[in-house]
Amino acid sequence: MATSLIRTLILYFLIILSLRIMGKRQLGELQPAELVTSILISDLAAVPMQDLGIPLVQGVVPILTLFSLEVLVSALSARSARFRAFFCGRTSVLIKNGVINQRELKRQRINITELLEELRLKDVFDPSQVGSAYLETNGALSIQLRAAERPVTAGQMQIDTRSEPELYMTLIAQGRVLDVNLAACGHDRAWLLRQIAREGLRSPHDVFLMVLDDLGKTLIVPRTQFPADSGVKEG
Amino acid sequence: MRYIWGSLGILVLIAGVTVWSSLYMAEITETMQDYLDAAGTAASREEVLRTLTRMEAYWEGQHWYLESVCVHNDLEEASATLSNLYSAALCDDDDDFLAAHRLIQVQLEHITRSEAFRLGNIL
Repeated sequence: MATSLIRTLILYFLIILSLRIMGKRQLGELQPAELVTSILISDLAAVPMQDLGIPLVQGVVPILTLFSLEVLVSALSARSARFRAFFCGRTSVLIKNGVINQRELKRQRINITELLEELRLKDVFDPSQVGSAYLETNGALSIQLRAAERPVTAGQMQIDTRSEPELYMTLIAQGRVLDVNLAACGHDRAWLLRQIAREGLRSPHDVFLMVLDDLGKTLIVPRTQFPADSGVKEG
Repeated sequence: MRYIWGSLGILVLIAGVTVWSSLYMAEITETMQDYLDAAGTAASREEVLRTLTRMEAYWEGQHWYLESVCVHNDLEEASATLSNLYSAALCDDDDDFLAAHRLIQVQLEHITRSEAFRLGNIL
């Protein structure tokens, strides 16, 4: 049992390390290959975890191989459009200028019913409202509504948005000061303590959440103190 | 570029280690085969026992590597057969000795083939 425990710990940290190095694109499964890699890695790790008769290296070697291949393919895809097209395919235009590309639908083996379903998932119930629709390489559908169907923006209404914040920075999270964010906002701890004191709080430890926007407005949520015995008694 | 070189480096390293492992396993089997041949053609029982003792010591010396790459069941079976071989030599039981001698050769061959870099294994 100890062997099983240690193998599980080793493989767990190996998988976490691999996923960390492969990066956010792996977690987001931007491409089908990444989905395949995630499934394979988890299956490969399970084999030596469950069968102690199989050497640990027979799980580690395939995982490292997959991880290296994934990093190599993603790095080459980032550097070469041709390589990316070969490995990941190209984006398909399913609707252009409001016209459904029936030939492309057939080529992608997509039924019109499926296209309509995807549009409905994007809150579009009338296909004539769609200006362009793209089937991305990760299988997702991106749409752009016709200009007349798009929601009005503040820019089009010529509304002055200078009083609206654009950026929010978390300065305190669950009592811990995020010094990197604080420095990025151009403030220091002395300023932070003054802001906290205005809310009647003594230290950052008393703050559950503090957020600062780029207009200088702060949101401070004090930490809730729970009594020792806060369970609901059934009776 | 570092990601490309880094991942290529890891792949080359893994490929190199697997090829080396395949060759090393073949070397172990060849050495064991030499010991078995020597034990099979030894003139006296004492010589057989000495050869088998050296063979077992060599096998034990490779245990770290073998346990890292071989399926443990295969390894345990081979070790058990080696013990039977020694016991048969000790008891001067020719039939059991020949049977264990043949069996250990088959088991070693199986272990080597499992680790070998060959098309049959890939398929």
